[in-house]
Amino acid sequence: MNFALATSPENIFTGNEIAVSSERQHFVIEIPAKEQIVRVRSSPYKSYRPRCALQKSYRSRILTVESSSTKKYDNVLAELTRLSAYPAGWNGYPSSAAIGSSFDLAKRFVELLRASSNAFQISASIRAVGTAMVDIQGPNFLASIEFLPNGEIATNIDNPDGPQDFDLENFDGTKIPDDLVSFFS
Amino acid sequence: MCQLNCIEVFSSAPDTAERARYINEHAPDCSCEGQIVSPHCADPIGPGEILIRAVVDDTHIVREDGSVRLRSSFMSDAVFFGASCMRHCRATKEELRLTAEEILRNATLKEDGTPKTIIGYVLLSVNAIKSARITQAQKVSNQPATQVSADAFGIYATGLIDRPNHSDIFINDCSNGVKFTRSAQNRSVRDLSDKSSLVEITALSDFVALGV
Repeated sequence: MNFALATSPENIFTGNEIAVSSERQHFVIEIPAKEQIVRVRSSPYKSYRPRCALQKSYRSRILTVESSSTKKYDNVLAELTRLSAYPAGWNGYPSSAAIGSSFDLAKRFVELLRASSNAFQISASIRAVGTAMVDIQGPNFLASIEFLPNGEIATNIDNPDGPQDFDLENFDGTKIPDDLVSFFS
Repeated sequence: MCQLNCIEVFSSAPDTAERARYINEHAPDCSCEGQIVSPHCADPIGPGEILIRAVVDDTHIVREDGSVRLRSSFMSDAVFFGASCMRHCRATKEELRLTAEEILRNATLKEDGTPKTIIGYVLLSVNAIKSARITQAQKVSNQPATQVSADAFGIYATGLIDRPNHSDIFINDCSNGVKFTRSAQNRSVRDLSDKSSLVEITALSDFVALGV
């Protein structure tokens, strides 16, 4: 099995700061007792802290490592599928049923992200009107994208240059829109 | 705009996802704010008030690193139906009980077939809501782009016959003839959700106990 030096927030570090991860696999690492193993978790962009401050010790000698590159995308796709079945009234307050075409576009976008990079943390939600929204946290940005059934995507991005909001038309799920490529590649 | 017109605007607004759009179209730039909009409540929302909003579906909640935060979806109603709230320190326990009953009566079942419940609530400061701005770059012909900015939300005392201390928060989707984009509206909603703190509850009585 090939391991790569990894820099994403989901990687596993030994006390010697060696990071390992595998592509698209689940695996188990047995660590000698005298070594410390820590796991770095992501934090919201606005409260981003240096890597060392995020480390958390694990006492177990054996860890099941979830391959972040595969599982996180599978998880968000599964969540989009789950939310896409929400009926009208799901919110208690007035709320529309999930709009299938909106969720289909959101899933295609997530698949495009999967092919683009592994460095993102992604989550999905449903809005009161039944559209899908995907939140993406990258190394230096936080993006929220709402997918409208007509192919419009409403995008909010926070990055060191400040907030950027724009609506893009005609997203058909075949490629990441040109205006977003620089963020997601 | 006179008070009668505002009552008419709100009473004729559809109870659908088009409600916010209708109110913005007929009372642009929050022009009915501070006016009586319901025959069941004579007191418009005032500065310094606190609003209570229940949280029902856990999709609005993110738990990470031991903390809990709300997603922007929680306040997304403000763009469509209006974000329904109750007025703290005014609404009675009976009003909050009726609110909870209506929410749970209208809510669909959970995926496991069990009824949903109110999992928490948020206290929203009127001052904080009113300090929020909605902003958008506006380009006119060959002139340099300028920023259009306005109050992001209007808050209205939409009293109901059995709950006179009901209120609604609506996005302000148009100012001085400029229609704000969906992304600009979403940012305002996201910022408001970010400012909101969830109070989790274990029993419905905790929610009802917020009443006077």
